[in-house]
Amino acid sequence: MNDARIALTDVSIRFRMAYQNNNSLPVVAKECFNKLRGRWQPEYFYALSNVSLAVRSGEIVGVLGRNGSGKSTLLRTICGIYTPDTGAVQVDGRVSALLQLGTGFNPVLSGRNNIWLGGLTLGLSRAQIEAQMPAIIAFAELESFIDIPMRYYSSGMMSRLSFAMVVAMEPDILLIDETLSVGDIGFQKKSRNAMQDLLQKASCQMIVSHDMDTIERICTRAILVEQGKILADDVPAKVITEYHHLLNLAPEAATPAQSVHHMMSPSLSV
Amino acid sequence: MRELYREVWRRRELIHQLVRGQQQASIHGMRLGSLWFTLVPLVQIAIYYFLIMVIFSSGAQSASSFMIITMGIMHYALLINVGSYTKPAIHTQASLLLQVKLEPFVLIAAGFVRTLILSRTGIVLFFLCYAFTLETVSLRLLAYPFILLAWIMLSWLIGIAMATMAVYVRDLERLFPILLQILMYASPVLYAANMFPASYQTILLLNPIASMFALFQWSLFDAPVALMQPILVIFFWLVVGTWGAHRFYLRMRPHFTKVL
Repeated sequence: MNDARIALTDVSIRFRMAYQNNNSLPVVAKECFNKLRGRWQPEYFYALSNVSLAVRSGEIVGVLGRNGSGKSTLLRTICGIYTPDTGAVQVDGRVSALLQLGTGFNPVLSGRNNIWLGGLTLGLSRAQIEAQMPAIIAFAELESFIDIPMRYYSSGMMSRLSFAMVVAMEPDILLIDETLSVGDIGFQKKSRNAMQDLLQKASCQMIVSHDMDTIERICTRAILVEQGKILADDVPAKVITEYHHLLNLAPEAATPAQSVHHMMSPSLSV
Repeated sequence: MRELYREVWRRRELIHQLVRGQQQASIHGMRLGSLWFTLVPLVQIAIYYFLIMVIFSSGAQSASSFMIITMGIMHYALLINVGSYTKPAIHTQASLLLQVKLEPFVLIAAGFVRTLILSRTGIVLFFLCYAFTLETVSLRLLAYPFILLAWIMLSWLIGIAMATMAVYVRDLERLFPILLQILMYASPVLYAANMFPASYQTILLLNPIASMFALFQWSLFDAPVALMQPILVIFFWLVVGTWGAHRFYLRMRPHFTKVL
């Protein structure tokens, strides 16, 4: 575990189920009454349950699992968005999490001002943003539109700018959640090359994807998350098989559906 | 015109659903729910009773009512803006905090900077007006910057506590404007501090905002205010507030992203 860049030890993350339900006065009154009687016990949902994991330099870990299995919670915990209720998270290096494109953008501001805003939100310094600005604009192919408000951008233009910023970050530890499919076919080719470059530069990565081809091709290791626990941790091919068993799908049977999915979200096919 | 109303009648089910949706959204997550709409007029009754029966029937007169009201409103606007821009600083940025590791205190600070920017014009305008109408310069004026600084610090501490609490208690969206109204009328914001009946004065000045505005009036209008109590009250609230607001924030911070 000593050379691990990311180390999770018995990490649990729980959410109180009642958060969404306690908004009416009778419910609160009942809760208070039960608290006074010592009978109140909040209901918890464990998004991660005693998860231990170590990711070393040079590893590219694919994270598989069904919707709601805890994949995104795992990435958010590693990058410090969630604080574990029990256990410890140790991360050695600068983490960049690509959880969603367009984070921190303001549609009222121009593209250029949004590069400043987004860059500062993602933790880049003024000097870094200034140095990267021409490259970001060129990569996003927005030279003529960079000084107009972002609300006039098409969704493709906005995504391109978002992706260009991600590429400019040059992170040490890279966490990617789901697909990064952006732009038209020409831009997708460019973004695939950029991702390939990014994956080579970062010392270790974790990628959440439902695209089995991508996981098998670029990852050196894969984990299967189910109900907040790591069910399998092995080479991608074996974990994908486990995943298919979990879904009650034979790998062959899954192929047509996946190829459709793959056509729809090819961005991680780097 | 008839067509317009015909369309309204034809779409009455949609109107019903829209109103229901908006009503539910306006009380979403609030513990008192629709009760807030009854509570507001009840509070108004209490406020006006206090003003008419206690303050304005005290018989005291203030020398320059216009300047006192201008000073009060322009400075109190800082606290009103805390409610508008600092209090919602964290919960309105929920999606950002769930995507990027960002210290939420930064968002509170950004909200407070916006509060200061929006409040400064009013304060500068008042001061220009004050300087224009000033007849004699008193040494008490030298205390004004320090009182203003204390007022900004107190507003900042209230902002930290409110922004933290707003993540958990959605009712604050309704409660805070009511509190602001109560505090405004229970403090010498719109009237002179000496209009407080003597029997109420000690109790009312325990409120740091009342003490703050009493000191403003002492400094700017030579109001006859016994200094010791307001200074001690403000000092106490600043010390306790600095400790309490930061401690409260640090204690609640680890759970923000789970609640948002």
